[in-house]
Amino acid sequence: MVPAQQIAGALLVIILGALIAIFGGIARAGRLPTLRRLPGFESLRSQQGRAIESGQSLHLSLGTGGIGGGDTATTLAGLAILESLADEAAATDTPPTVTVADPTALVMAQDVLRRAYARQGHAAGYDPRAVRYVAASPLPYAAGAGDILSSEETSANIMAGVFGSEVAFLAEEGSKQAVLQTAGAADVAPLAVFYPSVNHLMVGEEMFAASSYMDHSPVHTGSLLAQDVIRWLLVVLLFVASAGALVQRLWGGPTP
Amino acid sequence: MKRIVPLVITMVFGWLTLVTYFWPAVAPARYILVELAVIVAAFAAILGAFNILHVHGTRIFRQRPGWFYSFVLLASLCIVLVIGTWEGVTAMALGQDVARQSVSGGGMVWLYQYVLIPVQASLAALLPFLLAFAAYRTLRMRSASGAVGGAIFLITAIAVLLGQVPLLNLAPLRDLREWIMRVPAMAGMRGILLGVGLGITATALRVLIGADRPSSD
Repeated sequence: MVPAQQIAGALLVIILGALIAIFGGIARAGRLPTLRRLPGFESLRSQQGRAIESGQSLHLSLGTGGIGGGDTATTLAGLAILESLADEAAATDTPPTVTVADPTALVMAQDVLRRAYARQGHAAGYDPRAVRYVAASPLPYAAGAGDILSSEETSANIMAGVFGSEVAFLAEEGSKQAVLQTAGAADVAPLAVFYPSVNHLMVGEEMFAASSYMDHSPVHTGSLLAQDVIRWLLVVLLFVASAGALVQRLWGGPTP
Repeated sequence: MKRIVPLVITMVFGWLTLVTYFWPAVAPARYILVELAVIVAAFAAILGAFNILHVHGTRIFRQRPGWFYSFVLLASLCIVLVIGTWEGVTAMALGQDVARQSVSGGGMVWLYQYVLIPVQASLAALLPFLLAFAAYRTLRMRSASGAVGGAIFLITAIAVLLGQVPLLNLAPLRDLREWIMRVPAMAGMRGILLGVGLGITATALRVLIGADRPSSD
């Protein structure tokens, strides 16, 4: 017999997949909803514009995650931010300095930049050194990426990916250099570290909305709507379960 | 063809892996796929080593600021590589497990215990001071609404830290710490993790249906 958790997981995947398809179709038909403001994404474009005007580089940290493990989706979210910045960077030949701590993320990030240069008809301008493999473990990575901020002319620091509390070194170096900082993370520990240090913070799921906000593609907007519907369903379920437990407790029954 | 092949490979292997979670009979397929992923990641690690050589070699060659640190990095890389290779060759001569000895032989363990761990522990010890300073700066620099958030952040952090100190007569702080961790922190954390879970599932589904193409245009 298949355990109930697996059935629930399969149901969630099927319902979410169906909703993404339905809302993606609606969005493709031109009925796009208005997305709420997220200052983090609005600041990314202005940070890039500032970097292009000043001729300085923009540092993008993808953190310690890679492709193939449990961090894949979070790393893909960071790569989506790189992808949304890459075309303009390639067109103006001001590539961001991208740092990674996982070699699979290195290959993916290099591919994103290489393709952006090819799309702009400027494939020869692509420099693989724009993406740097700093270190394999979190603390040396944070210290090494911080060194890039202090030793190279950088106008902004974007941190989007998998981090731990060691990212304080990187965020602190950014504050010391007085560069604009935008950060996003899925885990709670780095969010607490980012909060006092960065100018704009993308909390949890906001980071996964990069493609919707930066590229406005219908399927991504549909995906956001689908997530909202499922979230409200889960919130209602949680309230019903909590109310049920409270009623059971008040009436003297055994609490679960 | 260059667009279709990566997309098909991603979708087929992605769906196959997903199915193994819900259909236990085909679960062994997942282990084979994970082993394949480990092999691919090993090749990526070689590319990572070349990237380090390329970036830091250029920095040394052009005498850019901080070139000496790049030299130390490359020298350390070479030393570890030589020691690992030496351990491997010695293990081969003695008929031992080459792969195991190359990463956990005497020299490598010494480097790990007496160089890497102390340096990392020293760095980690600086973290609380960095965070306290960052919180203090937030209080000074943010707007009025930000200052309120900063004040709550700082007071909570101090209460939690003091609640962990094993001193006498701090039982109320210990209780407060436990309440903060169990009620408001846990509630916020669950809300964030719920959204992150949905974001991760949606991202994975978009890759599986070919809407997100991380490896091709």
